[in-house]
Amino acid sequence: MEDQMSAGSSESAESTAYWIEWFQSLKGNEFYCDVDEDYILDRFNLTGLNTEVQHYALAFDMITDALEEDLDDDMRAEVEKSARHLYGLIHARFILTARGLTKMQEKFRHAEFGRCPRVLCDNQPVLPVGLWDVAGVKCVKLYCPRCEDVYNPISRRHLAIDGAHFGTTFPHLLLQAYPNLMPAKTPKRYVPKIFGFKVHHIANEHRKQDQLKEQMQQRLHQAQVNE
Amino acid sequence: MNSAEAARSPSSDSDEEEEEYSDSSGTGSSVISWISWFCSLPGHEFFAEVPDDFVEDDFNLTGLPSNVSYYNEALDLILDLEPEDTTHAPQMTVVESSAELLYGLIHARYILTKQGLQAMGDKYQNDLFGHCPRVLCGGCSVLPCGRSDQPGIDTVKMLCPRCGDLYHPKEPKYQNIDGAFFGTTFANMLFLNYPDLVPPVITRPPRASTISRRSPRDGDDSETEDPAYDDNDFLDDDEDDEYDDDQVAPLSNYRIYTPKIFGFRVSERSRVGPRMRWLRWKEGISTEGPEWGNGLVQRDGNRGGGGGTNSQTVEEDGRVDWKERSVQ
Repeated sequence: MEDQMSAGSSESAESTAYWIEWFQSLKGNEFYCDVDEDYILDRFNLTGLNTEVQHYALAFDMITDALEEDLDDDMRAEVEKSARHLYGLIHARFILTARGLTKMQEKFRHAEFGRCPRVLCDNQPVLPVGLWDVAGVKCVKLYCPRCEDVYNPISRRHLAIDGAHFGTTFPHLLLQAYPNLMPAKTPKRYVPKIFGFKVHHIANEHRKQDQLKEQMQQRLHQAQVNE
Repeated sequence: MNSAEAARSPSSDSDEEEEEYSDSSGTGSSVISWISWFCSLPGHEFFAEVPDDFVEDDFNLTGLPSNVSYYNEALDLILDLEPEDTTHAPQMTVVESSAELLYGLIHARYILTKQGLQAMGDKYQNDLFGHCPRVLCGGCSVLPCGRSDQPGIDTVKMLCPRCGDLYHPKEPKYQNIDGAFFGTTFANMLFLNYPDLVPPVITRPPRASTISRRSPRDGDDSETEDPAYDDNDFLDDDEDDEYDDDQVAPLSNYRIYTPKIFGFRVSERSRVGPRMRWLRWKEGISTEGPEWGNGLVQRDGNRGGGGGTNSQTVEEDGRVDWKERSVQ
């Protein structure tokens, strides 16, 4: 089904949608931003990708809507797959550029990546992150800047997205570039209680956590970092 | 196919019909009791079935009449009893919702009893409540937990025993269940009664297995590899996102996420540096590492098992000097 759609779209490329547009309109691909065409066309940005992707040349042509050869269905499906993968890898590089960061922070502001499942984070919007920069290891995860932790995406569709299409660096670089996007930290935490009483060993753990927090604040104070 | 479906659908229909029938006119001996019917509704999978004798014991219901409107009618409905007086009976839907509330409140009490804890513990072991969304908990099973014991305040949340935090339930169908139907105490009580259910935080993960699992990737992509968090044994549940199958038994170790940019940790001194690591600290996790700002790690190139703490020197003043670190 999808392959047919893709075939249709890229065969009649000039007339209707561009491949990238079509790719982004697919369900489950909401996390991707559209990579600028001139970024893709600059071969320098693609250094090394040819070894990572099968049918590199064909896949590249497909992404840039320049595929002229007639492929049989099997081959087209394969190239289609490669094209997606190639696009993902280019995407991972693109979102680290100034232009890419701008586009992604726009998406972040609209909470297009979802919200933190942690109750005390009050529906903080999250950012996509990979746990590996190597393709095919892990699916994309979500990084919550408020609790600074990573979560599994809720939607099943997003579980199919390779984490390497976003990379390990992206959310942290984004926050470095736009520090005002960093939400205020919440000192709240869940205190388990049994009939209103704290649980002993957990209360101990919390004390230790508080100690670590104080130590950190002291270090920051010494280093004269403004909170 | 059709015949099979046809055979199935009327039977399920007839169950409900019969149920409704028994509700309205009280034929008494219906095939399925109100309680089991209620617990089998989609979205009610979290509920344990409260035995009749628990509900029938008035002592267990102390104080509930004041919380529930049409208390007697609701109780009759729960116990599948015939309403005594049908002349000025309130509307069925009203009684239904009262019964749901009443059942929820009884349920909150029941699951604190020994029997109830056992029943819920079994459900927990069968992974009926889902898994922690936090990646570095390794798919730990969660328990429903309320944030208030008063009904109508907040919906049910999920408590992960590993990170000890509350999460929104993943499925939307669970997002309307009242938290008071489980209560604030229950989840903690269960873990206190069955400490074996809490997966331990191991300081040193099993090395051999993780290394063999790493093999598909190149061993030396260095920084990126050293990955964005000290996860190694986490590879083994590649499909940990689809927990459908029952493969969660050996959980990967509990870890704390370390933000990295191009393989380099984000400094604590950065304006947007990590500030919340303390929140995820657990007994068993070393605080000596540089992640806690009081150590200086010399990485041995191939830190397969990722204990993270095996080779490190601590500076006297307990602070990290990043320049010095890069020199080393």
